[in-house]
Amino acid sequence: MAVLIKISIVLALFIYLISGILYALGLKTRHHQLFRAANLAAIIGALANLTALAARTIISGRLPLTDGYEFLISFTFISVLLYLLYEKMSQSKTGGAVLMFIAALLLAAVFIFMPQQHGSYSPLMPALKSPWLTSHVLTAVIAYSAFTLGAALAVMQLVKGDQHEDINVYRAAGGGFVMLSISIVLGGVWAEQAWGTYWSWDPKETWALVTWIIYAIYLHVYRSKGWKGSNANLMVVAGFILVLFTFFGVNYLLSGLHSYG
Amino acid sequence: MSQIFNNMFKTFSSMKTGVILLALLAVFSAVGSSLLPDRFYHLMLFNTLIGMLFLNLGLCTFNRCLRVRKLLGKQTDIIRQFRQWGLLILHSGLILILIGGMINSWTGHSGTVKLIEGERALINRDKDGEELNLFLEAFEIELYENNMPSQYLSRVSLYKGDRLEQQATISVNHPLKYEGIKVYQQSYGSMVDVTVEGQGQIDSYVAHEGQLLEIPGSRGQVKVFKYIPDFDPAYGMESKSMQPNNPRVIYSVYHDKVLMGVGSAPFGERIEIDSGAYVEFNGLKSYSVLKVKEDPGLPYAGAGGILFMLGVVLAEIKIFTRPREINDRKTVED
Ligand code: HEM
Repeated sequence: MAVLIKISIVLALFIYLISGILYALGLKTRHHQLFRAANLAAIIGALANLTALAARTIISGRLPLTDGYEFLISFTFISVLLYLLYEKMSQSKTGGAVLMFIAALLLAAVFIFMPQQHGSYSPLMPALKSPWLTSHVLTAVIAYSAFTLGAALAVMQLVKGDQHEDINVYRAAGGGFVMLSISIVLGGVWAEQAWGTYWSWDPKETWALVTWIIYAIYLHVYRSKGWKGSNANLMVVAGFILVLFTFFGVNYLLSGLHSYG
Repeated sequence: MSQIFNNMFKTFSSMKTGVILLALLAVFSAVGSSLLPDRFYHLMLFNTLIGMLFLNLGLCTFNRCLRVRKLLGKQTDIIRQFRQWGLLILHSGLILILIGGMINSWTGHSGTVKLIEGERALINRDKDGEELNLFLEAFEIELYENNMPSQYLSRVSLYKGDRLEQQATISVNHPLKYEGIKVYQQSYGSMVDVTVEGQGQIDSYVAHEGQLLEIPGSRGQVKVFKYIPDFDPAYGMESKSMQPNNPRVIYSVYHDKVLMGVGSAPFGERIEIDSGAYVEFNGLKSYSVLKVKEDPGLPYAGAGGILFMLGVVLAEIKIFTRPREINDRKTVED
């Protein structure tokens, strides 16, 4: 199983990379075939990604939402899934290149930060055994994925200097904000049950709050003059960088200072 | 005069001010948590900022109430109604969360009690001076097959005065609730039951790891250094497993606080550590650490959390149903 998971993730990583390259070439040459191939690659990559998630679910007997490793491969899968849905609904291919590169980078991070974890999982420590925790993490994964989609679209619009479609960025970031809001409240419910404090200003919570505030500000100023368009899009990109920092920075860089899971 | 007041009111209740305050809060949290991770949220500046945000949020939500009331009846479009109600509900929810937090920081309190099986602790005294006592009947650690802990369970009885009020098993994620008080499983540990003997005199202790005990009638001491459930010399001071397969107590002997030697002993064996001086480790007493908390603000924060989630969903439903209306200013202001 561990080998199957590892192979699936390596495959997904490379197929996402190929898909990203095909999307980028498609944008350059405007050959429709390239987009079709890119889309197909994205679907195959997502299937490989899903295989890893399913195998993990089978060996551990629970949803793959309990540690950083599982979070990351779920996060990547949902991001690609949201993008595929978006592409189907909007018929727009502009975000594909950036999104697929981000997806490949996220899976590469698995090999950089947690190379040993493909087959290893431990039984849940008592604090993690709570349905609140599962719903908290699930909503966080969806929120992060929506922010990833929003950032991919925003980056392309900024590069092209054309913000006409910024409403799609708004929809992704707004949807992400809804999920992040729910996730933070559910996290509070869980923390209150497990530790007796719904908010304790630990680094993870604090950085999640900072991320949430950035998107809240974005939603408030999105329509105003001077913000609509490129400045608002920049804020969505900044928010995504904060999302990554909240995940990697707090978990893996500050871990020397703060010793929690 | 009233003109100036009016303008100040307008400025302070505006969304622009709210956004600036939010931005300041974000910057302050980011910088504060990096520089002073343990106490930035106690700083005066930080609390002032939250207080101002609270006022601003309160005023703008009050204005929004007036607006939504005027709109009632006139507005027939269901998605736009959702939007208006949603915005009102979500901002009200945030206000309630802040109120809950403030009530907690002013009137809430929490502490921990450390109980050995069979011990009791006073956890509260109500208005009439009647005592609330928590009695630990038993403490147990459930293990997985690989010996990692799967749950910590404290079986407790709660007495008000002499009356038994409640019997419960507290475990992680399952606190005990009683009249606004909640008791959580926080931690655990074990202590060693020891008798020390010198010059025919016997002293008994329940000692924690690291505790130094005087040997009666002498200038020697013995330190209970560490309890090891599965002792194996190959593992040194580490336990081979969590199972008590070969329980040992590591101890050290001192004379006038100068280290004389180190040893390991099983339970129930009387060991001569000096002429006429003996130590015997009789057994383990595990203790449970429970957190006792009273937060009168919790119902407000909880209600606020629910309203906030509900409001955000209602307000943003148009993202999926009417995306083209997002840029339409009419949906925003009445
Ligand atoms: C503090 C003073 C605040 C004021 C005066 C204020 C005012 C407003 C106004 C006028 C809107 C409608 C704007 C629009 O949709 O274009 C709005 C929307 C919203 N507000 Fe606030 N707000 C404040 C604070 C907050 C805070 C602290 C939050 C928390 C994150 C928040 C969350 C939201 C959300 C999520 C929306 C919906 C945004 C959208 O979809 O456009 N507000 N607020």
